[in-house]
Amino acid sequence: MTRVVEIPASFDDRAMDQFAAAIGPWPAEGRLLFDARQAAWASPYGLVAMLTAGQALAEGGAEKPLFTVPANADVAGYWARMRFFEFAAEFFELHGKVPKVRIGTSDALLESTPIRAAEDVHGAVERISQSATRILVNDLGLQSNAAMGFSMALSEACQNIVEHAGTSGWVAAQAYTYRRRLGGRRVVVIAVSDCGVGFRKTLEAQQARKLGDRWRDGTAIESALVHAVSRFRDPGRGQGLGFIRKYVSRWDGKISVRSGTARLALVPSWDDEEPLAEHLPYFPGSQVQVTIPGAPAT
Amino acid sequence: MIAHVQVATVLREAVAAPYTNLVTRSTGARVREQIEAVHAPESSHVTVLDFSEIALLDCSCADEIVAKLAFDAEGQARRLVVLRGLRDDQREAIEHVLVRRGAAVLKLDGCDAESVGELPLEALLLVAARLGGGEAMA
Repeated sequence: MTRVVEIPASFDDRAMDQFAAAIGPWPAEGRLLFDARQAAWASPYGLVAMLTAGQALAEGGAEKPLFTVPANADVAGYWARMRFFEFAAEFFELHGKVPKVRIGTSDALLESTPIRAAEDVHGAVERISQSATRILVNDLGLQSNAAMGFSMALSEACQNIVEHAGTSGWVAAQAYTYRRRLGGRRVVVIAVSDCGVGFRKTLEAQQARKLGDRWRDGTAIESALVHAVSRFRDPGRGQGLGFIRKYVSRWDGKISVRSGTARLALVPSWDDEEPLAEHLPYFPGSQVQVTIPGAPAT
Repeated sequence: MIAHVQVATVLREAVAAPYTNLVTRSTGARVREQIEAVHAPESSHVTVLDFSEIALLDCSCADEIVAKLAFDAEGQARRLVVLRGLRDDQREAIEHVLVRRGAAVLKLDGCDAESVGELPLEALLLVAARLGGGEAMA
């Protein structure tokens, strides 16, 4: 039997729980049809989350799911320029008109990019470094060291896939305008997602006994993000998320980490998300979003 | 003996690619191994790392190259590391990893010396003098 998973009409980090709930328990039973016909927009987070779902189903041996392309040509065109369909074709049976686009015609900071090894992190950093300064300094009115920090944050977030996920993952980045939050200011967003083992399993050997029955997805994320706990004994490890935390705090940004059934966010004053959300619908692996707002208008 | 290392040159040799960004732990480890193969701590008490042609330095690379060249796994100093040609963002990455290790290295900008990390400048300058690092600061 085929079950329909409706893609949220506006798919950003806030719609992730709706997406995870629509998929249901894992491993998903029966064949899934991801219906994006009514989709009106997707952030980098939404795009990499859909690729992650497809990859997780493929790695779990599920029947190749169906995927209907957005009916709106502009939306489908944007997803194509973000290289979504190029990679989605590996995991989904695509139905509908997939726009043909020339590679390199996107104005994205970074299109959907697979992260399989350290070389891919190098590639992503090389590409984003070229546009980060232009967008963060010229478009968002930030200082040039914000652009360097942005590329470093991307590097550290992607390395977590290579070092800990146990499988490959995805990254995308984009600048866009917040309509409801921040009074319509521009933001830049990095979204990183994988369908790997997740924070709880990665840190289980070090932390589970120490935290006893408090050990769950939320405390696992907290261990890594707030206390810089790493599965390695080397004192130099576990600093990547710590650096990102410092970076977002300096630029009044936000980091949100979802893994398994929990999400922990370091929430700036301009956002109203709960810092910790638990008992969420399960989604495999880990999803990280870094958001840096532009300078306020003077 | 004082070893002078142009980090960008070592990076190109280590990864056999025209990268100017020092990112990822594996790349950092390869760069450090390349430096150590030429300048072992027994023969190079002072190592000057010149970052002037490096674009980006992330924390993982900063830890693998700077922290591990300077300190062993127990936190004992292996050599004095002196940094040259360092930009503010690169300095921040290095400071971030050294503070966690409770360690420091010396940064030189022309004739100005500065401690990067947890130790006061005076302590580092004493170590530099003991190891014959005056030449590195000339």
